[in-house]
Amino acid sequence: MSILNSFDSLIQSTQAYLKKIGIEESKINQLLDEKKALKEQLLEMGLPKRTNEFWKYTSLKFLNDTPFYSEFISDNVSSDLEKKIEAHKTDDFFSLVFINGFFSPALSDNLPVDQVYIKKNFYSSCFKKDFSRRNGVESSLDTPIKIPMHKSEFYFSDFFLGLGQVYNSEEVVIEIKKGIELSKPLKIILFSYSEQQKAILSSSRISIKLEEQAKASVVVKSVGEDGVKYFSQIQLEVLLNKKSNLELINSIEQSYQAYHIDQFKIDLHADSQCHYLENNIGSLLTRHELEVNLLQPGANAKVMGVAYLQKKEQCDSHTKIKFHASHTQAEQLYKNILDDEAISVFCGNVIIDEHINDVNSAQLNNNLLMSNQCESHSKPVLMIYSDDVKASHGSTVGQLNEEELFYLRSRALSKEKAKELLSSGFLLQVYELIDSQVLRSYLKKSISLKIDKKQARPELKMLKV
Amino acid sequence: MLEIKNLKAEVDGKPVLKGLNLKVNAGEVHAIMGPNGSGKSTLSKILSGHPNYVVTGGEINFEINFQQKSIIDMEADERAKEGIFLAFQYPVEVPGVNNLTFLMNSFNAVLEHQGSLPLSEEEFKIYLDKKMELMGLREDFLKKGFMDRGVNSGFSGGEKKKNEILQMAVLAPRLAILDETDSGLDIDALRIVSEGVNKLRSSKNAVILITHYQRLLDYIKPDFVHVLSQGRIVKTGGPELAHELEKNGYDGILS
Amino acid sequence: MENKTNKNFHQDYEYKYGFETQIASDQVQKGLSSDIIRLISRKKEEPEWMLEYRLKAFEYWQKLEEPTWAHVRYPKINFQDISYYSAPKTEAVGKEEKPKSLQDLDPELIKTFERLGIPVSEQKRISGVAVDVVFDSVSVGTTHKEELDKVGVIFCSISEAIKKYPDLVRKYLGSIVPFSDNYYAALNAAVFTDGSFCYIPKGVKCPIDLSTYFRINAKETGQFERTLLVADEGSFVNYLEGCTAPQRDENQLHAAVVELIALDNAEIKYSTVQNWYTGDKEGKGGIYNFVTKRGKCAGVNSKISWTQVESGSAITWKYPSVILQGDHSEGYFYSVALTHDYMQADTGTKMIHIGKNTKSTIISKGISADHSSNAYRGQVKIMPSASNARNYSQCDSMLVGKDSSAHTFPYLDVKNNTAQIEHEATTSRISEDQIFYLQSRGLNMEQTISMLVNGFCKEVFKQLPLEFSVEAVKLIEMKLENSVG
Repeated sequence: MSILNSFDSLIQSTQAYLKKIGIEESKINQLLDEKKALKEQLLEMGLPKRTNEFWKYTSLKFLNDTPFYSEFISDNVSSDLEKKIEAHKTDDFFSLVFINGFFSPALSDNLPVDQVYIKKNFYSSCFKKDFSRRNGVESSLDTPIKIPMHKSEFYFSDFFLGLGQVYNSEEVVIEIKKGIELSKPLKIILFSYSEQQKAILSSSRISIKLEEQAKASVVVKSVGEDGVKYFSQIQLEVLLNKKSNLELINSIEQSYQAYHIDQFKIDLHADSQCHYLENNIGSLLTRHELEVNLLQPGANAKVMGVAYLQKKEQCDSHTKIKFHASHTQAEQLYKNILDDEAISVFCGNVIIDEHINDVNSAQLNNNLLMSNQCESHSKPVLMIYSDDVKASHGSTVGQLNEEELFYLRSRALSKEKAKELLSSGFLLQVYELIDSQVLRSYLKKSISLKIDKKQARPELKMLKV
Repeated sequence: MLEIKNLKAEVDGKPVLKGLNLKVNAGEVHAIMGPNGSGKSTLSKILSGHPNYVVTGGEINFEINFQQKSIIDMEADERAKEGIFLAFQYPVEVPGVNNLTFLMNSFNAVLEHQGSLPLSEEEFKIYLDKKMELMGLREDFLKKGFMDRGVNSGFSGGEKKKNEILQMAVLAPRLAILDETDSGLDIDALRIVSEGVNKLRSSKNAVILITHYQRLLDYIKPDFVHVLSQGRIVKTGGPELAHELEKNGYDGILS
Repeated sequence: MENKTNKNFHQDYEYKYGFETQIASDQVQKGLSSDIIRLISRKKEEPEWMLEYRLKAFEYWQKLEEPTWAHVRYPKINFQDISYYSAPKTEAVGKEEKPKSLQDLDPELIKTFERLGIPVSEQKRISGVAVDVVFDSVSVGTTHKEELDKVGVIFCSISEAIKKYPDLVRKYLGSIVPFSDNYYAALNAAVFTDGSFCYIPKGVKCPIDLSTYFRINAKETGQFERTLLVADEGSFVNYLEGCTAPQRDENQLHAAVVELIALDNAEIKYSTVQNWYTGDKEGKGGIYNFVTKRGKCAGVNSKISWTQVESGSAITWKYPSVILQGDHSEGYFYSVALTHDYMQADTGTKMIHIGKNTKSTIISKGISADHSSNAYRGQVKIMPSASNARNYSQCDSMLVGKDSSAHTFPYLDVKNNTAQIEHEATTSRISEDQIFYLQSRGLNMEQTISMLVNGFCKEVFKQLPLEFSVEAVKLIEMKLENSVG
């Protein structure tokens, strides 16, 4: 497959980057050997096929058709590029900048050291640990059928995990210190850019840790340049210690020609809380694989998704919310508006472990289809192994709710106005669930930009800020 | 102001109203009572123009610009602009649509229809504030962050009904139809809602109260009481009729 | 299931159908090969085209691999270790003819059915239901023939139909579930021995309910029955299916295929109360119930409704489905699936919307107790041509006890934007609190469970014909009593 054909470019960029940050030659060579071996394994494994249940709605042809390159841009960036990046940095956020997957301290803001600590884990130490856990004991088929427990859960796609390991050389760790509330929200800008006019593959590996009672708001913003084709990949791990609180936005604001695949894992410890929102307003193909683990009592998660898809855009969201302990709660709300020939895929797995109680899970997926060529696939799955739980899920596909339309019209609003309010309200409702006011206005502005850029339907004009 | 002649209507292909007659003049309050299934809710939905309820015969004439005009073919928003208002029995939640935005758009739609200029957001906020004060809801709603919430989002049943009355105050309709507004309300809420309705009464507007129980009528005193049964108004009287119903039940009156 | 008298429901539910009937049977040696298939076809005196169909299906089956995607686990089935034909010998009449009346049956058989509560002898028959009885692989008799003949309704065993009405059978057999559909459909097409065939002519509302009762008796056999039901334009039929089997230590396979087709303005209501042997408390034995059931609403305004109460078999794997091809057609699926001890169920439905203005409703209730596993798997597929499709699905699970599990796997695939799809699922449990509350108001355990289960399942039960629904309620209650108390 062509994605691994441009391995040479990876060798070059990795060498350049690691040399720059002062890693010694022998270590670099050892690293490159390991990556080469892994690349061979990946080639043998092959891309996930459409016959695989988790990939049946998604075509990965583009990974065979296009050669993607790795490109490391050193700190002496052109003023052109610098301007482009500055455009994404705003005063109300601390910004961290990654270019093509490589962390750029020079372009990033200085973060207050009493609040947050940034460090890097070099390749060997961080990749040894398994990013995804595989549960479920495969019992031998010869043993008598005693326990028909077959915990089939979805795993992070091995191929892309492997791809991340081939391309990443380090993990950037952001730690918010104990008891600290980060004074400004943090914006992690993942920017894709090619000086050589090539299709870039950027891969980032980030870890966000909140120590006990820490609090932070973070936006991970994946962007590139309009009209340019590129492929970006993120592997992000979040660890929330006791009583910590995180609001995390995963905002995909890529160009129409871009491809985006990310794998996020969020682990919640006792009494911690997380609000996670996927903001899908860019990129030709977006795929999210999310795993949320409510590990200890008191953990509480709100998992949200917003997608506005047009033309041939496609967004796949595969989520797994797993309850490991009693007294835990999770709410999931994914809302998609589709137009033209767009495709949305929602596979939401909710798994409630055995022998736990007082668990509350609500899951809702709503899809609004605006043209007669778009497609929606929804598979909300519940796997429940305990009886003292409250679990519900729902999914709707179709048009605006008739009763809501009538209510608004009975208040003198014309059919068009009522549709406008309801269509924009459809997505805004999710944004309203975010606590941080700065994050809320960021989200509203982001979708307003998309409405501006791509002629959206008149019904959505109220999304313009 | 409102004249209904021999109205026949059906929902889901089933006839519900079978020849209803009613006349309401400005300044009057009419109470319509009846057993379950008599067609009370259907009447309110028909008057406000709900698409699922179909008129199969008869006339509904409403005074527009001092002339009686048929409203059967008018859409819901057109009727609202002409001054017809329905306070829903079960108000819908519309979480993504902000209360303030919604009310402002509604109010301005009515204003523009009447030939006036729309209010700016600032101007509307002042207007809304005054109305909330008038309805005795100001403190309560502001505490709950009313302006920032979605319409009826997270509201209890009683709060939703109060919101309906607030909307009535904002839109100042000429004909208000209150569909079982008292259902599910505790004494305090009932008092607030009734006081609100009473404050809005004038010689230029009219109210139709659809209710099951006599209790509401202690607070909002009707001029006429009608009994609706099997799709028709079978008895009309003054406020004493309500007391009679209370004593003898519907069976007592209808036999 | 027919009305039974003198029912004494014990505190401990025992599988009352677990007895074995001692009867001479004609059983073919174990194993599966084209020779065995030829033998079966010859024994049934089938025409050439039927044998050809079987052989083609067998060839296809041999190329397939057993599917493993369902949420159930069981040891590999050895298909060579099963006998594919076992028929009770009929002494009274020559082998070639089926008994003219059910009086001619082997008295042991008649006794069996009385014990099961199936009224076989003509005098004792319950009016209002015609019964076709299938004992092991063979249909042994059908009641009410004259009444049905009068209106032109054909209701007989499929073996008889192949001989007497070959054109009808040939036209529709395999048209809705082709042998290429799945592994067990191919196996069934190759080795099916009997089942019911039913044809309702144009404009006829079938005057009595039709019913088939399946009973597996012989050891080490598999039961592969095939049912085909054709409702011609404007007709209506209410069809009931009941099943039981003896208690055995080994697992027995039941791989049936049911095809329904409804033409313009026709309506078919198909109800099943399945109570196959579930295996003992340790999970040993029990029936494997792998069934393909599909209905096609081929005509405009046609309706097909599947109602099932699954309370038996060690493993249940079935998805009664409806293809909504005709404009304005409607498909319904009502199901209560109860699993207990070590049972596993992966059941649900597929509603495929093709025509315009089609409608489907899915109400699925799963109750899982003890160590059992209960999964709902459903697909609602809206094709691009299906404008204005409407679907409503409600899947509720009730967990009894701490070791059971419930799963929901709904697939909603929509390719038309005028569709309105709504899916909801909830999970609840029978809690000690609820039981205590009802008991503190004077209800005993039986009544308590009855109320709770009834409330949970009532939307489904009310779809069953009256006697069935009473039976179904009692059946579920009895099974649950053990798990709750």
